[in-house]
Formats: sequence, C-alpha cells, structure tokens
Amino acid sequence: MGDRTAKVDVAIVGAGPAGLWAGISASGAGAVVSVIDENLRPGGQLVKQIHKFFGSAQHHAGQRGMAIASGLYHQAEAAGCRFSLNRRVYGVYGRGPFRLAMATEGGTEYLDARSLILATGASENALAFPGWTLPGVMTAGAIQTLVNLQRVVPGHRVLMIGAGNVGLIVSYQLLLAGISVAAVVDSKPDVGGYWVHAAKLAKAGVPLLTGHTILGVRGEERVRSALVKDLRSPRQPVEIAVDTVCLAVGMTPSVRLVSLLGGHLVFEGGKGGFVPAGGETVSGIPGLFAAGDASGVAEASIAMEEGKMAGICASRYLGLISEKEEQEKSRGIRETLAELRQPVRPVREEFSPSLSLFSSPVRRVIMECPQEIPCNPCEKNCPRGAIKIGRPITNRPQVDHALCSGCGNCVAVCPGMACYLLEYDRGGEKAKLSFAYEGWPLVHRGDWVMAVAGDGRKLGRVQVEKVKSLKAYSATSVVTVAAGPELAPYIRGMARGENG
Amino acid sequence: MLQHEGNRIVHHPILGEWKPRAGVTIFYNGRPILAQEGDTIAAALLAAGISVLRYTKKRREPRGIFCAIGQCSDCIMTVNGEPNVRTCITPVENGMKVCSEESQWKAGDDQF
Ligand SMILES: Cc1cc2nc3c(=O)[nH]c(=O)nc-3n(C[C@H](O)[C@H](O)[C@H](O)COP(=O)(O)OP(=O)(O)OC[C@H]3O[C@@H](n4cnc5c(N)ncnc54)[C@H](O)[C@@H]3O)c2cc1C
Ligand code: FES
Repeated sequence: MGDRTAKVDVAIVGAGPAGLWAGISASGAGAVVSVIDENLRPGGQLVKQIHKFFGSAQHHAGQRGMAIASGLYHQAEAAGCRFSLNRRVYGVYGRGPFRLAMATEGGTEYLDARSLILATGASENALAFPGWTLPGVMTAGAIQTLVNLQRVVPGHRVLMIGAGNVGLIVSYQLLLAGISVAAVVDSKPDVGGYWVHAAKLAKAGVPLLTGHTILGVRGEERVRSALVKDLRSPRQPVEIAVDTVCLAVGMTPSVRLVSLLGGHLVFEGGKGGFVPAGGETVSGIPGLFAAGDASGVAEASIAMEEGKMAGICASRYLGLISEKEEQEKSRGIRETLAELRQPVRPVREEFSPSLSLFSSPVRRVIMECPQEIPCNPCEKNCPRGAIKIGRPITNRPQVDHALCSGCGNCVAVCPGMACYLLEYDRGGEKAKLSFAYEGWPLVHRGDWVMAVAGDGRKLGRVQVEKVKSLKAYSATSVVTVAAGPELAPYIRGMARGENG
Repeated sequence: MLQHEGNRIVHHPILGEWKPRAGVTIFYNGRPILAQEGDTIAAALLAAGISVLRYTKKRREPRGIFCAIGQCSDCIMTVNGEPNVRTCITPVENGMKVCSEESQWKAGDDQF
C-alpha cells in the first residue's frame, strides 16, 4: 500500500462517546475531521452496554448504551465527520502536523492532522491470584463481548470480583442472559458502585460480599471453584463452586499515544492511574488534546462533555473560532462537568423508606434512590412534573404525590429500576404494586409469580394484574401485581429462574 | 437452561431472539465443529464446549479466553498453518483449520 497520506484538520483517535462528541463539536466549527477506531462498529464501550445508562437525560441517560452509540454516530456523520474504522493507530510521528500510522488489514495507512484529539478510553485491569490463568477466569469486558455481542455462554455460574459499577452492571447483564451469579466479591468495606445497581442484584438474591477477597481458584482444565475469604473474620476461606470468575477490578486510562509523543503524565489515583497533565489540553504539546476515559476514568456523560470541550479547544487552536467564542462555548461545559464530577459517597446505613408513608389510601411513587448520584431520567420523563431533582443533578428525587397520575414512566425509565408505584383501593383493603421488569421468561396478565423483597427474600405468590410494555420503554415492562395491603409495600420485584 | 440452546443464548429479554446465521464448518485439531458465520474462532469453540484453547510451551498450563478483544494473547492458536493467531478477534471461515499450538512443539521446548 503506497504512501497515500490523507490530510485533515483534526484527527480523533477513538469513536467512543468522547471521540464522537469531539467530532461533532469540531465539525460544527468547520473543521475537516477524521474519527479513527480499531473496531468495526463505532461507539467504544457503549456498543457492549445493553443496560439503560444512568446519568443525565441531556446525555441520553435512560437509553441503552448500544442505542446511545448509534445515535451519536449518526449525529457525528450528519455533522460531517469522516470515519476510519477497523484501523488501529500504532504510531504518531512529528508534531506539526501529527502524522498517524494506522494498522489496517492491507498494511499501514498514514494520516496528517494539524490537531490531534486522543479519546482512546481505558483498558481493564487484571488481578493475579493462584490459578488466575486457568480458562474460566476472564475480564468483565470479555464476558460482555461473549454474552452481549457473540451470544455465547461463557460459563454457567459466575463469581464476580469487584463491586464497582462495572462489576454490578455486568452481573446484572449475566442475569439477563440466564447465567447465574454466585456472588459479588469486593475487598472494600462498602459497595463502590451505585446503591441502585447493587439493589438490582440484591433483589435477585445475589450475595454482595464486601470485605471479602478471592484467595485463588481450583480446577485442572477449567475453573471448578473459588476460595473466598472474609477479611474481617479469622475463619477459613469458603470454597464456592463456580466455573467462571469475572474480573471487574478497575480500568486504567489508555495513554500510550500521549507517551509516544513525549507528553507529560501525572498519577491521579482517583482517575485510574497516569493521565495526561493539563486536562483536555495536554500540556507542552500544542494542538494535542485528550478527552473521556483516556484523561481519567469516569462515565459517559462526562466523556461526552470532555469530548465537546476538546473539539472546541482544537477549533480554537486552528483559528476556526475566536477566543470569545471559545470562552462562551466552554463556560456551560465547565459548569456541567463540575456538577457531574461531584464525589459519590457510599450509602452506609441500611436503607428503608419510612412505612408510615404508605398508610394513606392513595397512589404513591416509591423512589428507593438513597444516594446522591448524577442521574435524572425520572425527572425528565415525568409528564406531570411531579418529580424534582433540579441542580445539581446529584440531588435526590423529590416526589409531589398529588401531581402523580400513576403513568409508570419513571418506573420504566429509571436506570436503577428503583421506582415503584403503590396503589390502594378506596377501602384500603386491596393493594397493587408496580415494578420494572426485564427478564426471561416474559410475564403475562393473570400469571402467578413469586414476589420478592428488596433483599431477595421470597414474600409469597401473587397474581399479575397488568403488564405494560410500551415501545418507549425499550424492552422494560412495568408489571403490576395485586397483594394484600400489608405485603404490597414490601414487594420490589419477582423471582426469575435460578437466581431469584 | 431455558434461555440457552447448548451454549448459545437464544432467548434474550433485551437483545431479542437469536437469529442463526449461515452454518460454517471449522476443524479443531482435525475434528469438525459447526460454527456460524460472524462467530470469532474462540466464541465458536466455546459454543462447542471447548474452553482450553492452548497449553503453554514451558509449563504446559491450559489457557482460554481472557480479554476477548485481542489485547492479551491468551487465546492464540495456529490457524490454517499460521501460528500465534488471536482467535478471539478472528472470524471463522468455512473449512478453516484451527490447531492448539502444541502441535507445533518440538522435543525439548519445555526445557528452560
Ligand atoms: C460495564 C460498563 C457499564 C457502564 N455503564 C455506564 C453507565 O450506565 N453510565 C455511564 O455514564 N457510563 C457507563 N460506563 C462508562 C462509559 O462506558 C465510559 O465512561 C465511556 O464509554 C468512556 O468513553 P470514551 O469515549 O472515553 O472511551 P471508550 O468508550 O472506551 O472508547 C474508546 C475507543 O477508542 C478505541 N481506541 C483506543 N485506542 C485506539 C487506537 N490506538 N487506535 C484506534 N482506536 C483506539 C477503543 O477501541 C474504543 O473504541 C460503563 C462502562 C462499563 C465498562
Ligand atoms: S483473549 Fe485476549 S487476545 Fe484473545
């Protein structure tokens, strides 16, 4: 393949949410933009995410990751970005312009860019313990690739290591695929991920073993069991029969291209490791910018805002926008980022909504959302304005029950599946509870199902009164069950298969 | 299990029903394996119940899929005579010959 060197104003490496937004923003300012990604499908991490994203509705939270990916891709294409997929950038030479070397199936291709935005995301950390090389030990990303993209069963019973959001969400994705999760293990004393994601697993009866660690796995040709130790107790480790151990032990920003260019890196533990110094403008290298998980592991809403910002900085560097325009455009982004980046504290005490709340014979929305997390699809999808979060986005939702019409939109859209509707008849003798359900088998009106409490306890068999599955709910159903008035307030879902 | 046919996830509440793709036969150490177009080699082997993809040269330890995105090289096999192919990112082709790497070993390889 001869030396066909194309030239662009801005090259963006990585077509995840950060890279796509960087492209939309730089194209919008009039730059000729090329977005490069090693995968065939644009979207980065989002492509494998089949759950409804938590985050701000403005950043498409409430939609499933894979849908957000295709939406952003079309937006970037419409903005005029060119895409070079199935190409891995393995080298960058020179600084003015940056010359990128891309590995393709046919050999190397080159691209000259006046400005370069690195939106390369993050790579998964591994964890070594005796037996960790045995088949059956794999990363959370591997599990997602096999289950959600290849539709192959990686194993029938999985031990999840890591109770951060990735470990919690991938465990839930395993349950959706009909694969059982023996437990989630984390050495920290608290669940690191969001309370609502842990609650989904608790409802399904999956033990959350915080303060525990994995000592090793046993097996000859494949994992047969794992040894798990309670770190606070002198007792012997327990042996848990599993055929798969999934590692969800954090991610490290992918900064190799920054290093190649001689960019300065600084260590920031809270961001996952070494990150480019200087934030979105990589210090010391004019024209080089970084965004998204590559500049600090966070989440998709943040990646999108950082991408926008990098696109603006690159446009300013190229003289496509004035300093004043740059300042105007970036002010709002900085505010949003400050709001999204607020630290999330664990929920320490056992959370239970006050029961006196339920005694009056009316309709109630129960929001089991005890943690200040950056998430607001419930507010944005309430047609009556009955739910208030406001700003900052980390506020907990407040419900005006008098305004609620009982439509169930919040129940369906909440990425944490943490909204419920409780209704009593006039006499207060009969009650109904509605919850979000995504699962196999499908449920139908008239079915008898096993109701479960928030901790997975089986509460007894109840009859399904209604199943509402609108297209807008995107594969989530709002299931209403009838139960006695003493039982109904405690129902949080129904058992499914083995894990319930 | 209800949602699975063999090791294939056929019913999925979010992703919908699995639409089988055209059948492809690959040969794993000479043994015919039925795969589907679009499968990676490693996924096709896993679907057929094979999780050991190779043994290490020095210590003869089994290895299988670890990252599934072409980053770790745990899944390398000899494909149509070419050694060290990452099977987790290489799609199957009809008639493909896939061998675990020990077929390439020579006597004394484990003596280090
Ligand atoms: C299981 C899981 C669940 C999550 N759930 C949520 C959620 O509910 N809400 C939320 O807000 N966030 C969630 N996140 C986080 C979110 O997905 C990430 O923060 C976000 O995708 C980061 O975007 P990015 O564009 O920086 O990187 P990525 O999405 O990782 O994209 C980077 C892209 O760059 C490509 N690339 C890297 N290097 C090169 C190179 N040299 N050449 C070519 N291409 C290259 C990569 O292949 C990749 O496609 C989740 C993450 C995981 C793993
Ligand atoms: S499993 Fe890691 S490269 Fe294939």
